[in-house]
Amino acid sequence: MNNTACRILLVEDELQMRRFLRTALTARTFEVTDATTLREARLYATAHPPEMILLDLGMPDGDGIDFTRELRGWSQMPIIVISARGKEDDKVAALDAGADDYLTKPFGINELMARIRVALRHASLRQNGPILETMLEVGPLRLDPVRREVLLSGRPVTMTPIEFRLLLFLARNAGRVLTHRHILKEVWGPNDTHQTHTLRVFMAQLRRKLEPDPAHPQLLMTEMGVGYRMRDSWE
Amino acid sequence: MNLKKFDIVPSPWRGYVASLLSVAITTALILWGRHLLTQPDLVMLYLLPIMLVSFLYGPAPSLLAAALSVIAYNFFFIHPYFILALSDPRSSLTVAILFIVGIVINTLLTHIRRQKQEAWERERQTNALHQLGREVMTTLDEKEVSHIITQQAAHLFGGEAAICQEQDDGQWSRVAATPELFSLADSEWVLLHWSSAHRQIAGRGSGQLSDSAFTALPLFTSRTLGVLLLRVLDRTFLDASHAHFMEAFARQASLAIDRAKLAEEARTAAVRANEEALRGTLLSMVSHDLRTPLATIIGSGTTMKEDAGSLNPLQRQVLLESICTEAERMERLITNLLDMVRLESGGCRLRPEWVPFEEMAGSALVRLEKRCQERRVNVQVDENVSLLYVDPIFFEQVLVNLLDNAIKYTPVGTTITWQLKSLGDRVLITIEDQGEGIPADSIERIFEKFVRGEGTAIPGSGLGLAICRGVVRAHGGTIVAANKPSGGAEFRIELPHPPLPPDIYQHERVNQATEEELLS
Repeated sequence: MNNTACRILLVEDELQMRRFLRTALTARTFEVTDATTLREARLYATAHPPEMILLDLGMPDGDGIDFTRELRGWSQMPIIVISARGKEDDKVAALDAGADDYLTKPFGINELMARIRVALRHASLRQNGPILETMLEVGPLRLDPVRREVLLSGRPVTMTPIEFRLLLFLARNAGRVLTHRHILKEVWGPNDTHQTHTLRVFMAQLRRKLEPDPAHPQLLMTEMGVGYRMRDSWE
Repeated sequence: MNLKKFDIVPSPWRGYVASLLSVAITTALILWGRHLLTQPDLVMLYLLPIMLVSFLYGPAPSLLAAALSVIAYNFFFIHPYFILALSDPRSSLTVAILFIVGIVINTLLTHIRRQKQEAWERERQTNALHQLGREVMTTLDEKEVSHIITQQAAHLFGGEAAICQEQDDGQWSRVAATPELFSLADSEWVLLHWSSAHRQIAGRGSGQLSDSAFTALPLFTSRTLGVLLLRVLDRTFLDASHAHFMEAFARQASLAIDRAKLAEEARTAAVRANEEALRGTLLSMVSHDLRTPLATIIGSGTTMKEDAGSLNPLQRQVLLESICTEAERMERLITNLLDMVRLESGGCRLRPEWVPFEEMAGSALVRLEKRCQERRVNVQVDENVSLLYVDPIFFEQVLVNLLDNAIKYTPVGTTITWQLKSLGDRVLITIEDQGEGIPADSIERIFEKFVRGEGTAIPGSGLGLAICRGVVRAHGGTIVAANKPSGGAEFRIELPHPPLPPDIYQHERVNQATEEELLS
């Protein structure tokens, strides 16, 4: 990842928040452009398309969710939305409208950097087109999409077809949050009418197979009220 | 009923008949034994019926008895016989003396009788007031006191009684009545109003508005307390002579009501004082628990900002750490405050879904991972009830708050155990720790807002457990706290457990089938 050229459009109306993000990101060699309104953001995004957008959902002059949808009409640039706790519905709506990830205020700089890294990585994967996957590796997990094999710390784990599809989708998007609806659509198909609880039951089964302590997950993380995320940072 | 008790003076015609009879019988007896008696004996004997009638029937019949005696004596025993005529001056004197002596006896006896009756009446009234006083002392509830008063009044005055009070809107309402169905015409409010406003007896038997069927006794002490309304059936009480007794009764009743009111006011004041204390706690909590972290943040921040190079890197690191820790603490506090407000304003609607307990427990554990440190959290799930029908976001917060609570009050290195069990149509979640347990005196109150462990130096808002109770109740469940016999605290949550939707069963079956296929 070449940070020197990475330009981020920061859409945030609060001065102190802008100051903090600008300082923190500039120090990590990002180039930051501020927008204090959605109108400004629209202008900058079209005139000088950035590498990614950090978008506060609570802007004074419009709805960040609509803005996300509008942007997705012509661009695949990563969008990370920032929103307050208790606004889980807004996060889900923004993610379903095409945002890549979200951050809940207040957040630490490590959390922000992790999200940015993941979003940029997935964006570059998207840009370079689908590469032939031979093997996926996330932490102790190894997936072979062709032979449909799962290895956990070197030991094979048996999976049902649906469990495998679910796990593969999560692994391909490791680090990203995936909404319930997104996962259901992708794994069970767009015409399926299954409900969130079906997904929850399957996730519970995956955890029992893959987590040493299913009640204290290290790999298959729950984003309560939003969806799931496969952890991709393993120190 | 008790009407007879007061019937000392029977209807007068019986007295007159008795006078007639007694004089007739005396005359007959004297006629029969005449040869044994001298003239003065005769006169003396005639005094007997006069005394008897006066004693038993009062002054008027006894006067008749005196007159009849004189006539009978004159007629039968004074020459010329069988004629009402006095020829002999001596005989005239005898007749006159007989008559005068009869009247004197009558007057004396009447006086004694009246005194006796008055004493009896006084004693009875004193007893009645005493009894009222005794009865109303048994309670401090104003409504009950009012009820006792109307019962006593109805009993004593032989009729019906009610206590009416003027409401803030000027309408009169019945506080208590005996019998319960005491009916009161709307027009009587004038009576009530007059009596209350002038603090005087009004209505029947009084000098004011006496055409009413009711008698109104004002109830007041230093303040107006209402009106005791009577429908008196015992006419004797309508005499002016009983007005003072009615007043005494009303006074006694007023004191009793006032006493109950004062007690009630004391209770309300105590409740208000409690609320004030609570509000005070909130204020002190906001000022203390929000300001303490802010003080650290501002202090550390300015120290670093104004630093001219005297801080070494380690010191800077310490200051930065405390800024972050305190800011996180503030965030937890604000989160709790907001949750509480959302729960209390009723603005949030629960959106229950079928969620695996493990998923919520896991999410809660991840959120508190850093704070758990060396404490082990052991989650045991009954396979039959892995799914709960709850609002995942709110319920996860319950688990977070309970875990946070357990972390705060247990030493590092201990184990916290979460257990999910089926109870048929309910599920039981227990959260046990190995800490010191909950102080016995606050175990009932820990779910109340702003109640903190006594004398604890551990920071917290006293909101966490209140939120737990709010959320659990909103789910139709209960949460209780207890100390385990083996030591440590235990929280028990019981939730309703509706039947699983069919598609979950289906999926589990299909899934198992495929799994078996794969394994074979």
